[in-house]
Amino acid sequence: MSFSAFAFLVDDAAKSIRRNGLMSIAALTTVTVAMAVLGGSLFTIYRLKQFADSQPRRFEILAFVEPKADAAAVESVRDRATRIPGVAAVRVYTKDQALRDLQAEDRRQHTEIVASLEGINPLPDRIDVRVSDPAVTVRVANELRSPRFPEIEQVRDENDALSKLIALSNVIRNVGGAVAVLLFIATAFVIQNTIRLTIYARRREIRVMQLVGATSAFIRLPFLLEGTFYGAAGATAAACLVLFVVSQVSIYVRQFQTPLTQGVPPAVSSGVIVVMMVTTGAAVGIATSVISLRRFLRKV
Amino acid sequence: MIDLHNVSVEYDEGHSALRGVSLHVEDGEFVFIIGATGAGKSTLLKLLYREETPTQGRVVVNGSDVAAMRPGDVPRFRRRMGVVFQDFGLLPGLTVFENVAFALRVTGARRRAIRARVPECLETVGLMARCDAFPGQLSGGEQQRVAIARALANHPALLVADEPTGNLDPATSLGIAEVLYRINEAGTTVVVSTHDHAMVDNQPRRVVELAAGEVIRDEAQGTYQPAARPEA
Repeated sequence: MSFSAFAFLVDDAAKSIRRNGLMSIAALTTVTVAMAVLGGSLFTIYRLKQFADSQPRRFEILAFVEPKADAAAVESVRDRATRIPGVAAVRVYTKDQALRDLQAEDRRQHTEIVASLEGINPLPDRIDVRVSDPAVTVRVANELRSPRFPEIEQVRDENDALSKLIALSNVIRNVGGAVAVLLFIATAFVIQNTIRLTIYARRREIRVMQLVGATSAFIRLPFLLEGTFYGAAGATAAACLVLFVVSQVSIYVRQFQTPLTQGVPPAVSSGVIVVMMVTTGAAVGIATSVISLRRFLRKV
Repeated sequence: MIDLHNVSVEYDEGHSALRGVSLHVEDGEFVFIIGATGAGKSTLLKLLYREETPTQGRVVVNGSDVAAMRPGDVPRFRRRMGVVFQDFGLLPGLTVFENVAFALRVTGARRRAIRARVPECLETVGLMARCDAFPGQLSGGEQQRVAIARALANHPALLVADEPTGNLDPATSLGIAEVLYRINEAGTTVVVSTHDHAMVDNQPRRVVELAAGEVIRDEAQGTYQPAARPEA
């Protein structure tokens, strides 16, 4: 196809968008709303999942060593625990450190717990185990409870809280995924309907094109460009809307900074959000235009 | 130029639009296709620009076998002919010039070629003076002239006109007929389906009459009514 023919088609698509002013505005508005709901929902799902995924990392397995165990036994436990598959880090929290922390707490709280112990340290040494994946927590905890670690008296793994968080994360992934698919289909349907209406409005023109010998590609390209425009432009407007809402929500959430929100990884940059949404919008526009053209052009 | 050999067209409902039609048209001929409504005139013309394909038989136009043609070859096939309809088929949002240029643009013609060719076509139909008008500002006859100019844009070897004067008064119809004769005299083969007695009788040309999908008359210098048959 020559450059002048391509320029004519681009001009033709632009004219069609302008000529069908009200319908174009309606299509752009609908696509913007649909893409904003889709993009906003996906971003929310993504952030919720990030939050849910980050929480189990806070939960370390706490293994309390028998009070009688000496420093060498504690070191041995630490070494063997490090070698358990799925263990990311092991830290020894000695009974002396625990006592010092308790003394500091006494001073802060104005209590005399340590003084009442009369020089005896009843606290056990503790091994804090952090796992690489929350899913292996239970297995690692059970390993530490097994006879291979006779020095360990008690293991605390906060299994209940962890299970709930993993379940929550899975619910977010599944429900969010289903909602995203539905919204994606709705967006595609909106663009497809717009293209179908455009084809119907231009059926006379298409008929003339066919009779004067326009190729199928030549007839289809303006509609394809139009669909891509609706998808990409709608998605751009939607991305701006989503970014604005996200920035406002972030300002609001920052006022209520809690330990829970610490450690949650930062969200992807605004640029990535815009590129992803515009690419998705354009792809939906192209795909639905192709489907519409295949389905409706034959009937013209 | 045109060769139909034992051509039949049947629709899904079992209705036959054409039955065993054979017809040969030489290069540069002018042919009127006449007959009552439903006789098969439009179907015959649709075969020529491959809007229809024959259920049986062979249709060869400009050296191409219509039935054997791949869909991808149809656009190039149609560029070698012009088609004119009763309802003109003009695009209301484009000027006269743009409507004619449209036929060239969709074939990928360059701007310079379009600027040179469109005035030639409009001169042929006598409408250069109205090149900036929109179809809605023209009379029926003028609109049909624009449609003919558009059909000429790609230098067609064949011009097919399906009831081109169906919506026009008798005087305007004769004007359109004059344009078609001029185009034919310049070497283009012209096939016109019509109900217009005056148009056919004005300058006797070859007349092919269809009835119930069959050719019942083919005269070299015919009139609308055959000499032996009294007018109904």
